[in-house]
Amino acid sequence: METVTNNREQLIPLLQQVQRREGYVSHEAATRIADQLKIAESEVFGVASFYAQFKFYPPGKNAVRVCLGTACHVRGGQVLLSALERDLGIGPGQTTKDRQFDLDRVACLGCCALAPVVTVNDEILGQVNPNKLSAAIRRAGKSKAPARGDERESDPAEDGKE
Amino acid sequence: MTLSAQSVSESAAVMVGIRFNGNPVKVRQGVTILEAARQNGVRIPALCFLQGTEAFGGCRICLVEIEGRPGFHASCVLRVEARDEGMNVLTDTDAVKAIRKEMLKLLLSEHPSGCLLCNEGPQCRESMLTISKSGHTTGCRFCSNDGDCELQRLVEEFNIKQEGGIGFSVRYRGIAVEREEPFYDRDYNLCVLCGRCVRVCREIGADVLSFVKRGPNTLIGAGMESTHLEAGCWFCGTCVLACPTGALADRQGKWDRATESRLTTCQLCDLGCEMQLDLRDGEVVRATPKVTGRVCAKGRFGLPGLISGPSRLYSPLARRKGVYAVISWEEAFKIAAERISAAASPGGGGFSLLAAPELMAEAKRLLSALNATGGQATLDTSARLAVGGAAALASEFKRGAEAVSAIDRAQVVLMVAAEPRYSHTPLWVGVRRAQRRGAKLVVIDAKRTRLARLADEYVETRAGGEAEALYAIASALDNQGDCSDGGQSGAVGDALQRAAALLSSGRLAAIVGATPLQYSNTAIYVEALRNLGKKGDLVGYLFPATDTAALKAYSTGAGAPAESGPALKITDLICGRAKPAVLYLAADVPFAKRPECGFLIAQDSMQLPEQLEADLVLPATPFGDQATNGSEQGAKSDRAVFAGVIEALGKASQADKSELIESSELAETSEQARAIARAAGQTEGGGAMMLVREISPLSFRGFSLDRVLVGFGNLGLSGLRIHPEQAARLGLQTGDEISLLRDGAEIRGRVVLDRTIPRDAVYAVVDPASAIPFPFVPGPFAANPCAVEIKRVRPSVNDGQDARR
Ligand code: SF4
Ligand code: SF4
Ligand code: SF4
Ligand code: FES
Ligand code: FES
Repeated sequence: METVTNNREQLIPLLQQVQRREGYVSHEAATRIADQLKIAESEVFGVASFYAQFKFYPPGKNAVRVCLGTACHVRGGQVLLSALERDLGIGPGQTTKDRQFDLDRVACLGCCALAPVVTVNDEILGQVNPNKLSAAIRRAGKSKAPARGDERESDPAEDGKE
Repeated sequence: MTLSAQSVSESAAVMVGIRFNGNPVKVRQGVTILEAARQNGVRIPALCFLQGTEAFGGCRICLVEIEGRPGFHASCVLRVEARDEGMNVLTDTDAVKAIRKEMLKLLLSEHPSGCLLCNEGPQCRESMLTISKSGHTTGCRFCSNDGDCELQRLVEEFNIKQEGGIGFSVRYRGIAVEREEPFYDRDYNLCVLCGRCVRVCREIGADVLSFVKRGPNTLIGAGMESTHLEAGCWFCGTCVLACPTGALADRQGKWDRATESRLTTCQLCDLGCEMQLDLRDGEVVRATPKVTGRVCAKGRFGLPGLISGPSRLYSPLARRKGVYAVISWEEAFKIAAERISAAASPGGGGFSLLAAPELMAEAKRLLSALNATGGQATLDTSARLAVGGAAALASEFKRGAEAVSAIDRAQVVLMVAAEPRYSHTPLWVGVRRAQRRGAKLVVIDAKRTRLARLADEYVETRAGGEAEALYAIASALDNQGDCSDGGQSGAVGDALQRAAALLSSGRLAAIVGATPLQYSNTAIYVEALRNLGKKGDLVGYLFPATDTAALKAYSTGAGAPAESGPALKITDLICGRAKPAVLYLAADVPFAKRPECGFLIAQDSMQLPEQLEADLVLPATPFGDQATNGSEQGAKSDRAVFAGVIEALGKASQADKSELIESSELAETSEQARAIARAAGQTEGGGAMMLVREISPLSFRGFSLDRVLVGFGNLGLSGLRIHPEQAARLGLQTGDEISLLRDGAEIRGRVVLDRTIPRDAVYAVVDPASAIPFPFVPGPFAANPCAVEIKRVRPSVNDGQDARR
C-alpha cells in the first residue's frame, strides 16, 4: 500500500495484497484502499465480495471443509454441508460468531475412495455421516489445541439444547 | 422519477435523422435511442433505466431491433452517432416483443408474483374498499408498492398473465427483511437488481450502496453486512424513491395509501426545498421532494412527524399543581399578559424573551408593546449560539436557490467542516454536478468524511483545527504568500499550499460548516470567512436559523438598544446566572430542564421535555400545516400567538426603549482572535482526548429534532462519537456508558462508533436534550475543543456482540 495511485484497476491487486498479508480484508484495510484509490468503501466491498477468495473476517480457529467433488457429491456431500450449515449456523465461506469455525467447500481432496469426505483442520474424516460429523465438530470446538484431544462425545445437557 | 434538469450545454448540437418503425425523426447526436424515442412519443419499455443517472443496461427490457443489424440492442445504452443517419429502429416487432417478455419472465422467476398473477386480483382490489382501519392493508400484501409498481405495469403491458404466466419455476430467495434502518425497510426478496438505488446513491447520496456477491447470490447492500446506518448513509431517501419495486419502502406511511397531496416549502433550513406532502385523512403520511435529490433526511423523513406526528401540541395548557389542564386561548393570552406585565414593571423581577430568529420582528413588537406600558424586557435567541460570531456575516451567506446557483457558477468549491449528512444534502447534489463539469473540490475537515475521497485536495486537520487551516489558506490567498501560519491546524503545509493554489484558480463557492463557529477560536474562522467572502460566494451550512437575514438584523441591534439595564445573555440563562421572573420561550426552546425563572411560558409546535415544567404552553402550528387537521385543532401560527399576547398587553406604541444586545459577545476582533487561537487553555485540565462539540444537524428552534421525531433517535446523534479503532484501544464498545472528565467536572454519554472521527478525539452534538454543555457557557467545558480524560462507567446492556458480526 506504499505506492500512491488513483487507478481503479489497482483495486484487485491491492485487495489480494491485503488478503495475503493479513489473512482477510478488514474494514480498516478496505477504508485504506478506498482512501488510496479515492473510491467509496461500498465499491471496495462490492468488488471484493464478487470473488470468493477474499474473506472479510479473521479466519476462525478451526477450518471445516466439505468436499463436493464428483465422488463426494454423489455420495451425499451436499447433505453433510447442509447438516454443517445447520449445526454451525453459517453458510460456506463464513465464520461462526464465536470465531471457532470456518466453513468452506472444496472440489476434490484427492481421497475419493473415502467419499464423502470432510476435513476438520488436518483431520480427514472419511465416509462420514451427519452424526459422526457433529461429534467431530463438538470435539474440535471444545479442545484448546484445535481439533486434538479425545473427549467424550457430548454431555446430556448439551444434547438437550440441540 | 426523474432527476433535476442538468445544465447540458445545448450548443453545437448536431442533429441526426433516424427512423422509428419507418417514421423519420430528427434527434440530437449523442442521445440514447431510448431518450430519442421518448422525446418523439415512441414507447419503449424500460426498467433499470433512470433519467439523469448513468445507464446501466442490466435488465434488457428496453431491447430494440435495428434494421440491417443483427441481434437486439439495449436502447438505454446505445447512442445515436452521426454515422447512424437513416437508421431504422424497430421497437415493435414480434421478435423484440417476445424477447423483452422473456427477459421480464426471467426477472420474475426470482420475484414473488402473487400480486402480479393472482386470479383473485380484481375482486381483491374491490374488497379493499371495505371499511377497515387502514384500507390498503387488506389483501395478502407482502409489498407496499402494490397498485403503484413499475413491475406490475410491465407485466400488464406485456400481457404476461393472460399469455401463460411466468413459465419458469419461481425461486423465493427467502432473505430476511431488513428493518434496522431508522426510516425505511429493505426487502430484497422484491429486488430485481436494477441497480437504480446504487446509481442514485453514488450520484446524489453518500455512496454507500453497491452490488455485493455475485451470481444467484447477488444482493444490494453496504458491504460488510453493515446496515446503511453503519455505512454512513445520509438518509436522503433518494434510493427509496428510485426503487421501481417495493424492495425499498418508507417505514412510516408504508401501508397508508395517500388520498391527496399538496406542495409546501420545507423550512427546516434555509435552502427551502419544495416538498410534496402526501395526505391521508388530513394527516401527512409521506414527504417527498419535488425535484429528485433536493431533500435531506430532516425534510424527507421529519416533516410527516413534525406536521402530523403524535408529539404535536394542539391546545394551550396551564400547569397547576404539577398537572396540565387544557385552557382556552383567551385564558392563555390573559395569563401570559398578566404575568409578563407584572414581571416587566419596575421591581417586577424582570421579563426575558427568547425567540427564534424568524420571529424577531414580532418579538420586537412585543417589546414595544411592553415599553408603551412602561415595562422593561430583554431579548435574545439561541440561534446566536449556533451561529456564533458569524451572525454579523449572516446576510452575506447565500440562501435557497441562490446557494445552489452559487455552486453551479463555481469553478472551485470549498467545503469546510461541512458534511451534508442529514442536513443540507441538496448542496451536495450541486457539488457533484459542478465536479462533473470540471470544477475542483477542496475539503477542509478534521473528519475523514466521504467528501475527503472525492476532493481534489483534502486538507486533513487535527480535531478542531479547521478554523486555523482556513485562516492560513485565506491569508495565503491575500498575500500570495505561504501558509506557514497553518502549523496549528495540524494540517500538512503542502496540502494547505495546494488548497490555496486551487482556491485562487477560479470562481469560488465556499460551503461553510457551522462546527468551527462553536470553537473557541471562532473569531479567526469568521475573519477568514470575511476574506473569502470577498473572493467568492459564501454558502452557509447547518445554520439552524431558517432566516439568517433576520438573525443579522437582530444581531446588529437594529432597533437601537438602550444603554441602561442588564442585557440578557442566553449563556447566563443556561448557566443560571440570569433568573427572570418570567421567561417566554417563543419557538426557541434550548432547554431540556427548567431554567431558573419564576414563571415559564413556552410556545412550540411539539411536545416539550417533561422536565422543562413550563407553566404555560402555547401550541404553535409548524410550517406546512395549512390543509391538515392541525390548524383546526386549535394551534395558532407563531405570529398569531404573538399577536394575541400583544393584544392582551394593550396597545403597542412606536417607542422602543427595550434592551437588545449585540452579538459582539461571540465576535471578537481579529487581534483578540489570534490570541485566542494560540491560547493554551484548551489542553489543560484534561486528558489525552480532545472533545469537540458541534451543533446538531437536526437542530431546529433551539433543540434537536431527534428529541421528538420517530427514527431520528436511532441516528446516534446523542452519543459520544469515537473512531472504532480508538474505541477498541480503550476497550470500549458501542453503547458503553463513559464519562469525560475535565477539571473534576464530567459529561456522561454512550459510545457511538464513527469511522470519520479523528482517532484522538470524541465528537458530541450539543443539544439541550443531550446534556452536553454548550461551548461558551462558563465552566470547565467552556473551551471547545477541550482536552478530556475518558473513563468507562458501565458496559453496554447487550454486550455489543451483535452490533457488528
Ligand atoms: S438514503 Fe440516500 S445516502 Fe442513504 S443509501 Fe439511500 S440514496 Fe444512499
Ligand atoms: S433495491 Fe430496488 S432500486 Fe435497488 S436494485 Fe433492487 S429493485 Fe432496483
Ligand atoms: S435541505 Fe432538508 S431541511 Fe433544508 S430545506 Fe431541504 S429538506 Fe428542508
Ligand atoms: S470428490 Fe471428494 S475427495 Fe474426491
Ligand atoms: S432499461 Fe435498458 S437495459 Fe434496463
